[in-house]
Amino acid sequence: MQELINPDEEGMMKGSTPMKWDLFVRIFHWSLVVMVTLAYLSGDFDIEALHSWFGYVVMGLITARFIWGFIGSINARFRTFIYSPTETMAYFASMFRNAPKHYVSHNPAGALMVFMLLILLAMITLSGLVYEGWGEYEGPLWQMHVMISDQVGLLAKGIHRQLPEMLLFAVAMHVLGVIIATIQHKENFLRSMWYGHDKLKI
Amino acid sequence: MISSPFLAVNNAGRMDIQQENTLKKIILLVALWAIPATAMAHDILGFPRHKGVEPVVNKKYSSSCGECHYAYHPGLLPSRSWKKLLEPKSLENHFGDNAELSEKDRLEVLAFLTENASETTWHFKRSVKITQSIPEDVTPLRISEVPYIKKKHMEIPREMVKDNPKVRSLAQCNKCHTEAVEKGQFSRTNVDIPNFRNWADLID
Ligand code: HEC
Ligand code: HEC
Ligand code: HEM
Repeated sequence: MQELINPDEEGMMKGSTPMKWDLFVRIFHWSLVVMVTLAYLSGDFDIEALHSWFGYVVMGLITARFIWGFIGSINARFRTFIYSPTETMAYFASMFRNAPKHYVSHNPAGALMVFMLLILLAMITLSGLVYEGWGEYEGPLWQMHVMISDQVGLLAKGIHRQLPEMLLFAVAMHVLGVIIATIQHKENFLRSMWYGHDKLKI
Repeated sequence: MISSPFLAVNNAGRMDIQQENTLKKIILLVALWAIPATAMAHDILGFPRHKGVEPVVNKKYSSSCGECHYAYHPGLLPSRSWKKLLEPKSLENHFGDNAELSEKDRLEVLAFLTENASETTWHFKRSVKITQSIPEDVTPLRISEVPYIKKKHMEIPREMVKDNPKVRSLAQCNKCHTEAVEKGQFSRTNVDIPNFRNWADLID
């Protein structure tokens, strides 16, 4: 994992590996974990007044992440971890051989998961927004008098009922993926997501 | 390679670890607590709201209007609807029934209903939404025709309502909303449709 594009060791703790995730990505990641948890629980238990606020925060976070995917540090850019289908299949093959190829940014399996989670979250927050404007007579769409037909409103409600369950499943797969990768790559991914870099190869 | 200022963060060397940790802590604290705290302040200070409709009671109203269905909370309709419903003529033909009242009782009930109608409160959430959802030039005579209430029940299949011998009509709010009568609470978390305990799985 040493082939960072522009390694700059200056100022780093002794024995630590090069920077993997920039400050934005790390704050984004853990804020998202907390906020999605709060959004999910407040939604499930119908604590509506707080739910929409948690939802807005999630919406803000993923919007910021989307922008960061174009202007952020190299490892954080979407371009860095959009892989061709061939490369993705090759990665899965190497994974099943228990000899996965190493990547500095997300590996192809992890990248798939990242896009999956971001798309799910975008759909969940958008449908929540539409449902709020149509059925709850609240929020920006209601305030701006956006006309929403019953058909669209019901569709948004349906999506907002189903996708959070799918999200839970996706999150479980994401965590499972990280556990498998931690073992296979002998790299402490959790530490990288907190401190920005792995301390040492374990 | 490094041309954009944003890229600077790619190089850990630009900030020493201590500075970075402090910055991280500050941003984390702000991001994680400021926004929910504002939300809560908004909820508690700027917008104190109760979840349901106000569970007010009036003896005369309960005895006059609580025989054939539960005595609907006044906060479920705007006062113009209550006025129209309580005109002597409409009471004579009240959805096919006769709900006539003596003039004295009628005025007492009317006063109670209009004083507590949906638009008189701003801190009972459901009432506010009911008021907001009705166009100004419309006077619904049924709670079940109020757009907000209508939208909430659109997906409930016929066999759970009209064809359900224990419910029969959407007007029977209290048959499904177990905390409606006493607490004025209408939430999907405390609905129990007779004969369809597992309604949530069937509708979703
Ligand atoms: C003699 C029986 C009877 C009495 C007394 C009576 N109602 Fe009703 N009420 C009905 C019936 C029947 C309906 C129609 C229910 C349905 O459609 O399922 C109805 C419906 C309503 C509805 C509309 C419910 C909805 O959302 O569809 C309102 C509001 C209402 N009544 C208010 C009152 C008030 C106020 C009084 C007291 C002045 C009153 N009722 C007294 C029989 C009665
Ligand atoms: C057949 C049973 C039934 C009857 C009768 C009924 N409801 Fe409901 N109501 C439901 C169900 C089920 C939901 C949840 C729907 C959903 O979440 O998809 C609901 C939801 C609601 C909500 C929104 C709750 C939330 O959490 O957002 C309100 C408000 C409400 N009902 C009010 C009423 C009123 C007022 C009446 C009487 C005029 C009434 N209901 C009659 C079954 C019923
Ligand atoms: C990460 C983001 C979000 C998650 C995980 C989430 C999750 C949920 C869940 C689990 C429910 C309960 C659904 C059920 O009854 O089964 C719910 C309900 C709801 N959500 Fe969200 N949500 C999110 C974002 C939003 C946003 C941005 C809005 C818009 C403001 C929103 C508006 C609503 C509304 C209005 C309900 C109530 C639905 C009802 O009462 O029928 N949500 N949400």
